[in-house]
Amino acid sequence: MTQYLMSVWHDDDYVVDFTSDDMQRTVAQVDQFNQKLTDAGAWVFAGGLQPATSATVLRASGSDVSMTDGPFAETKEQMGGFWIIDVDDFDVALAWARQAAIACEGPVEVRPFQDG
Amino acid sequence: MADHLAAVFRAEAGRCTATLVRVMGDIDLAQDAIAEAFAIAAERWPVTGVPPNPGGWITTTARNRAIDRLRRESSRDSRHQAAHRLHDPDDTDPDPDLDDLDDFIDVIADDQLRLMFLCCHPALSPDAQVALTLRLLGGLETTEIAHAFVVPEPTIAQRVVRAKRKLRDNNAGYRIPRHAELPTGSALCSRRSSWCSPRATPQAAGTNWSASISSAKRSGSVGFSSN
Repeated sequence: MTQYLMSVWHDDDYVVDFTSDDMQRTVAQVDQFNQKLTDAGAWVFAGGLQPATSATVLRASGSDVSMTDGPFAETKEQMGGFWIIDVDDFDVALAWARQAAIACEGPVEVRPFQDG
Repeated sequence: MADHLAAVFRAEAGRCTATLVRVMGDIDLAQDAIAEAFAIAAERWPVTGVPPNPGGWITTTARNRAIDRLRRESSRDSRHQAAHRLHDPDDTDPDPDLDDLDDFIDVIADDQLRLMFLCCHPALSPDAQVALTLRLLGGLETTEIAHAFVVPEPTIAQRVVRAKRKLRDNNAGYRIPRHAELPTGSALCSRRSSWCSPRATPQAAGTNWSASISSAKRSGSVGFSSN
């Protein structure tokens, strides 16, 4: 069994508005998807993230640590949430990622974890 | 003898690699073992003569070298992993009672097809798929592939290395995809027709592959150096 990270990505100007029809639809779809993942025994952990503006970055130089307001990546695209799944192989992970991309209506990146 | 060995390599390397990838469950291990086996053949066959089944000899020798290497070099965990792959029953194995490796070796067409689907994994870019397939199944050196596509040799070498690493890091499985997993007809044809015989179909690709490569080389139509 191999663990993969499936992460959802949005443009920076993506607005999280839970009252909008689009949001309600994708939330319902993702809930259904999460249930399937859990039933299949593939679900390890998952969650949606607050917008990138809520992020803070800490950098250490020896034991001196500095803090910066905002996300690490100074790019337009930001991570909106992720799943960690544990499945047999790459093709199984890709099959779940396909469903994830459809459910959350956004691009999903699949990356394997290093062997523990 | 050197010419003869080169001819055997062209004809057999892809098939032997495909079988050994299935048996060992690791592309790099399989490639290194096949290369070692051919090096041994280069020393022995001038003395003993070419064996009646050169492909079978290569695959058996390569398997033995690979197992020796696993025993010598691996940590206990990776040995257990490799052993698990070796003994894992394959659901397309036509005869699960086979003990004799020679009988395993004869199940060749399925192995080539499996390796082809691995090399053409949709998670790889088209460039990577082509380079990996030509390297592993076509028995071509990176210099030959680079010459055909008019790119520097290190570019092709890097493509092959990265493609193998991606498949290994993602724990890509080694099997023939179910029909539902295959791309639709039009997507399949447009990808294949640019660099493969248009008559090749997924079912026939395993056996047509070396035929289409060698006919392309003979006719010079794909730009390979004539040998």
